[in-house]
Amino acid sequence: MGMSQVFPTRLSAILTEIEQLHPHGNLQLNDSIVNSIYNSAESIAQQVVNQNEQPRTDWDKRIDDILTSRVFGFPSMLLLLGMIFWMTVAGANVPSAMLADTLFWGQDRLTELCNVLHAPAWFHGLFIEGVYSTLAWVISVMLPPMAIFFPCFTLLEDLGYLPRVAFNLDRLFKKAGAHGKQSLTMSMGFGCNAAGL
Amino acid sequence: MIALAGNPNTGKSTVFNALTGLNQHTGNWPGKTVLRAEGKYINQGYVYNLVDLPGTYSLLANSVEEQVARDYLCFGRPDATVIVVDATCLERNLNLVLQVLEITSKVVVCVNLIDEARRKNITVNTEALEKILGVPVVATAARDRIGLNELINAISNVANDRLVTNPYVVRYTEQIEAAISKIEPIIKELVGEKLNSRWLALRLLDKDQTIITKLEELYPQRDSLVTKVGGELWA
Repeated sequence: MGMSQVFPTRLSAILTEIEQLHPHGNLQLNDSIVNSIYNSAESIAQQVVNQNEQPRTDWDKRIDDILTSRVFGFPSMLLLLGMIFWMTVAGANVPSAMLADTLFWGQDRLTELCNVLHAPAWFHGLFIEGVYSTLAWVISVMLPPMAIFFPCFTLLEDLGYLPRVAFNLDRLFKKAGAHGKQSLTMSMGFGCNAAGL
Repeated sequence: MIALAGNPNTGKSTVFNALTGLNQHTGNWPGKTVLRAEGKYINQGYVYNLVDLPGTYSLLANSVEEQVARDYLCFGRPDATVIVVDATCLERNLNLVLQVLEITSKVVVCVNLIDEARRKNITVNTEALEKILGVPVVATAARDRIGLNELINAISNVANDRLVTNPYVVRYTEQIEAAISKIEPIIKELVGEKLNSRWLALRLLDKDQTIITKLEELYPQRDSLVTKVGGELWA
């Protein structure tokens, strides 16, 4: 096909024709078109889809109704998130204390070692009291909450609850010009602000 | 070239992966397929290039995804289009099916998530649907690879013109139908059989600016021909 082909009708001619057919372009065409399509879809669906009466108890839907209902939505959400919060804070205390004890017992031993070897004071100060004890603190404070919080959150995510939290909070967040999804990152932020951001 | 269209979250990407054996990322949230993904599979010696279009609820409004999907279906002219629909909410999905059928007749409807529907005690009469829509309808559960062979067969039948489809046509109000019947013939004169003139008539009546621009590109006016010679239009 070459460019030399002369088109029998030009596009502009068609456009003029259309302009004449409905001069103001306001036959409410779009609405009417959408309506026709929707009605057709509805009638076809009615002909071919059969929703049997009395479906088995749909647990998905039931749980959904409770978790995202107006009345129980917020309390159940606060309860659940509160529980995780509490589990993280309270549950982390025990392993935290254990880790701290172990690691600082290690520091004492290292100090003794330094004394035996007559290591210079700056060495002890820099490596044992500096690097080692900082590391020990960070690990004993951060690791247990993370080890509890993240599996819990992953579990909730796999259960599909997190999107529902986002759904619940969407209205509130919209008022602040944000999106419901951001509640999730915010609650992550309880654990560590860096992660939340 | 096979296009894969459908509402968001109906398992288009799962079907895509099941057919191509690729492992494109699938996930349960809308807007996952932003750019279109492509892959291929071989069936009876033919290579099928599968294009995963972004999920849309319609082709009428003007989001980017809808435009990408629509332009591809209309001007990309795939050999067949697979519309993946969710068996559990067929009605909403049918809106898109009807709109695609307006653009192209080479369509296979893939009623996916049939296992999910069964769990919810919903039955879909695919034979009746096939009769009404006038195109092949295949029930699948792509996650478990159920119905995929039937889907592949249906695609090859439609793509190779072994099966002539007779797509359902949405009838509009008398006013609109009258206008269509007036301009459809002259559009046909312009575009021939390459594009669907009824659909173009509708879009032009609706003063769809994106379509007009596209047509201007495809069919430049005679006075602007000189400048467009050597362009990629007929490449």
